[in-house]
Amino acid sequence: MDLIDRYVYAVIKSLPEKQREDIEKELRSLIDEMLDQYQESGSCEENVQKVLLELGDPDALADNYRGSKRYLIGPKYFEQYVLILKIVLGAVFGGVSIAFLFQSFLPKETTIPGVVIDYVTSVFYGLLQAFAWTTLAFVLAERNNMNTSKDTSIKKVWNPSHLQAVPNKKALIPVSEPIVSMIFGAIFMVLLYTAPGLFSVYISSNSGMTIIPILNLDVIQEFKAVIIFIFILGILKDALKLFFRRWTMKLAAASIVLTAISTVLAVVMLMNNNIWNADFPQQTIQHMHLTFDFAYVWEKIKSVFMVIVVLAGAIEIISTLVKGIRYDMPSLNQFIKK
Amino acid sequence: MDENMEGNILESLLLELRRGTIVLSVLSLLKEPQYGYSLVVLLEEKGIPVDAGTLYPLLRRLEKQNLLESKWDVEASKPRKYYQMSSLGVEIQEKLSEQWFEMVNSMNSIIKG
Repeated sequence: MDLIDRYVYAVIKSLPEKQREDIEKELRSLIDEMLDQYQESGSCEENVQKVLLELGDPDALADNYRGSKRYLIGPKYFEQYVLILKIVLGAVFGGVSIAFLFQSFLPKETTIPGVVIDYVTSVFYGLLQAFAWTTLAFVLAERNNMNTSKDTSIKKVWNPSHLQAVPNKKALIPVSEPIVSMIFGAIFMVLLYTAPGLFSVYISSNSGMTIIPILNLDVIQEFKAVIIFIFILGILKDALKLFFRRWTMKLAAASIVLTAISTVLAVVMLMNNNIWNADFPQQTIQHMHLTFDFAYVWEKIKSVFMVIVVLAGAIEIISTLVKGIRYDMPSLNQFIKK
Repeated sequence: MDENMEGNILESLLLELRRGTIVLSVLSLLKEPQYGYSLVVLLEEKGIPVDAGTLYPLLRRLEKQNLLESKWDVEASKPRKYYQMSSLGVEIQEKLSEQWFEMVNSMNSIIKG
């Protein structure tokens, strides 16, 4: 019977491989028994219909067999998922749009339809990427959560001592902070990733506009993976802040590790002298008619920039550590104050 | 409150009330081996109707918890999977029954005041 085959298939298709055969056998014998009951009356087709209706929705039956509903992203994470998705998609859209807006000011040989097509494909591609990565992160979180909650033997027994202290108002992280940070991170990232040429010095003169890129565009291409990785670390840090919403030692520790890794990566990247446009100082002197040794000044500027990056990382790490200790380890905090 | 809604609430509460009793009824009827459908019929006769769609997965779950043992009978004209209480099942069924009688007494005294 075609209908019975379809019904049985609909039930077992989402069940674990190992149980399928046995459940199929059992279901078929059940349907058989139920059909016997109607044998006296009605056509075979009608009886099958009746029996299947009695058994009900195959998805519900499969849920019963499985003992749980299946989620890609369950109710525990769904709200956060939607929130983060909105932020990330919004940031990517804003970033790509701003990048194109800047680019349109640059003199380039493009046609308007060409720019529109470029823009639409970039937006589409960017949104797709953002959607996929965000979803993947949450799916992993859900998987992880499912595995830990199923294994009841390992599950910690709740105890009143697990209750968190009511947070000091100052320990709360305003939602706007990680969101703003994510948006700026995304915009900067998109600019650097899709249009590193924007980071240039623009000199207008009688003969038109001269653009001297600060970065070596070819070398930046090679560092794209690193740039993306640094960006993902930043998003991760902001996501953690959104998740905890208050400073704890755990959050501080994770935050410090992420900051340290991305600072080190940024420094390693900046130490590579090739990422800078080698012709930059010389061209600048030429177009701006400088009379002093700009090459020397430029070297200094690069060193200062590096120091700023290191200092910014260090300051963030220290301030994070201080927040973690102040708001989550009152005893240690007392000790330090003494 | 409209009648339909009242009916729905009653329906869902009744379902909840019955849900807890299903395991004990199934275990108690499986002192003797039964196959799934005969159990559906038997439960209905005894006035505790349970859907096959609920019962079959429940039987598997109880088997997984080692409260039931099963065996396919392929010699009859139709292959049937027979379930019966295991020794652990018997033990648990006895303890549940004791609890059940106590609960019935307590509930009666609460309800009747």
